[in-house]
Amino acid sequence: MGCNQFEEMISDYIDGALETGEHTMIERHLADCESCRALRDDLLQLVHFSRHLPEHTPSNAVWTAIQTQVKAERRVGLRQRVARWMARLEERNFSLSLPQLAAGALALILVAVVLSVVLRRETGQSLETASVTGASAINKNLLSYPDLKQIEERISQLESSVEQRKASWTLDLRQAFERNLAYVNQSLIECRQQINGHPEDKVSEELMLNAYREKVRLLEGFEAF
Amino acid sequence: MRVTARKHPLRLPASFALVLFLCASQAISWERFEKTYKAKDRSHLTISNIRGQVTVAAWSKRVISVRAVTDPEVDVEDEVSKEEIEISVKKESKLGRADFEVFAPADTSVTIKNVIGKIEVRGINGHVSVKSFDSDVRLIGIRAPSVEVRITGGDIYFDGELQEEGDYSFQSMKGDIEMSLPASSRFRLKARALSENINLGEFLSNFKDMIKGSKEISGSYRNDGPKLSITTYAGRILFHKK
Amino acid sequence: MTVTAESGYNATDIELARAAALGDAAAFEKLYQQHHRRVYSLCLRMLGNSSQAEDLAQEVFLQVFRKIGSFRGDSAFTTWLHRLTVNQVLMHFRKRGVKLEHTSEEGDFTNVVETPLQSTRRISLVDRMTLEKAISQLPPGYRTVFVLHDVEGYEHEEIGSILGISIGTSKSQLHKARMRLRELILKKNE
Repeated sequence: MGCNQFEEMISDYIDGALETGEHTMIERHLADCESCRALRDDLLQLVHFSRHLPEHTPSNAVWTAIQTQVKAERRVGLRQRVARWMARLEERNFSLSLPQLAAGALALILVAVVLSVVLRRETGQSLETASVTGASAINKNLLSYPDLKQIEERISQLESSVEQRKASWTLDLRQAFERNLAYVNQSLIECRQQINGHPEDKVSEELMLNAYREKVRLLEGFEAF
Repeated sequence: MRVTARKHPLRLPASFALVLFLCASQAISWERFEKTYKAKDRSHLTISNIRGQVTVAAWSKRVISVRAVTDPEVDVEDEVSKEEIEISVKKESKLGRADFEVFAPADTSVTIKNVIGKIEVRGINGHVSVKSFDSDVRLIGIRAPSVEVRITGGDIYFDGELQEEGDYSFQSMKGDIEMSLPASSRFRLKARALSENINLGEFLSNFKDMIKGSKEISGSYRNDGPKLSITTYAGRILFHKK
Repeated sequence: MTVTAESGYNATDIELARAAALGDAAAFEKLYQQHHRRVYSLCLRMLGNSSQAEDLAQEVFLQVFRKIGSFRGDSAFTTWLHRLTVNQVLMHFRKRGVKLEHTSEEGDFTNVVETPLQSTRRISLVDRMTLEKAISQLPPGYRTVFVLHDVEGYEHEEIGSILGISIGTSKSQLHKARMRLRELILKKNE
């Protein structure tokens, strides 16, 4: 056996995949050939160390991002199920008698209340608390910013549209979106804090309105995907 | 690198085999979009990208050259009309990356739209508009009559000259905005930083009607001039004299 | 829940998977805690890039979330999870137009490897970093087979079925990967 042939078989030899006859040939060659012994030793070392390579740990950002996405997808799933349920309900309306309609309406109201509580709780837990900043805006300064209500509504619309599309994005697109949304929301929170503490602060007011507009631009930009 | 062709009856020259080996070992396929357009006086060029770098630099040829290296699934389209050249990456290409390198005459007006990726414009004297989200933006040697930069996450660096009766606005939600202007500049400034971090450097003197709050500095520098509006939220505003 | 005799069968994994399939967020988190390092390490070694590997690991667990309902428990959870992981890696390579060398003909120039047959140089004790670095320098096709076989312990049959190649090709790619690694490490030690 020559060194070339040895080399072709060395991997199978190391993996214990050779027949007895071939195995013997290899060992005979090894007895006489130093350089092939060196090769065998090297490969044995390589394989041994590779088998025992340690596990690496990713950063915490991975789990955080997974949670965000999972929560969003759960929300979308819930919304879709509700939408389907509502659609089916609509189809059945025509043949109901008055007492049946009344009972149905009452049930609907009950369900709507329960759902809105559940959804709000879920949204409240979301890492990107977009709706939270929105809710506080509506509560507090709606009277002072007539434009704000329109912007809030637009933002709401865009947010649900983006939620639905997000699942089909690539990871880096999603991450870029979440990251930039976080920047905008953080700015909104700070502006709001500033205004609450100093209601006469016109600059913070302007900055806040500008940030709202930027949020719309961000959502519109990503909605296209 | 020596190449041994042990099993093959062919005997190829070592250099040829080497080249093939190197090519094969790259094993990554990209596509290229390459086009040149005749430039009119003050043409208007728009680049709409999604993911990737966009670089535009001025040169002395009266031709606009657009080159993009893209992932295979990316589609780049162009639309040429009397007034405009518009190059865009189709929205369906959202999976892929495209890096643009553009050369154009200095008097070209440039509009860049991107989502993720660095943007750089050099030596352009036409109007410059950059709108993106996650991008660092560098504008160097710019003598444009108007500049607009709007990003959500990223730093902005501007080095250039402001033209009389011009309009310049720079905004980032999270990022530093640095201005490098000649000492002889004049402008009407409105600088706002939610972070309260505004550093005018050597431009601090020579202001008229200055209003200085914690989050805003406004006023006329050296007797008024073009509008210069700078806004950042989480970031700093820095001025350097050239 | 009884533990079956099948190798690698972890009763806890199955329980967690079933619970996660029913929407149990804590169970899903537990699965992540137990398996994310292995998934990430696999991605990292196959891609050679830590941020891409994190992206991919994320995507793998999102797929787990979406598809956990379809995990029947007829194989070990780890097998199902690793298949998912390898498929993500292959998709990642495909998207970037990375061609794995074993799709080319055997005997073409990608096979050419310099082997110092007559030398008696040996790799002095391999340190982990050198080995990891060398693995990341392997061409993608060699790297994939090597990581699956020598690092993760898959057999050639399994590798063949995952990558869509013959057992012979898998063996041959493994051999070339090992020889190339040896070269890279010897060169580093010079």
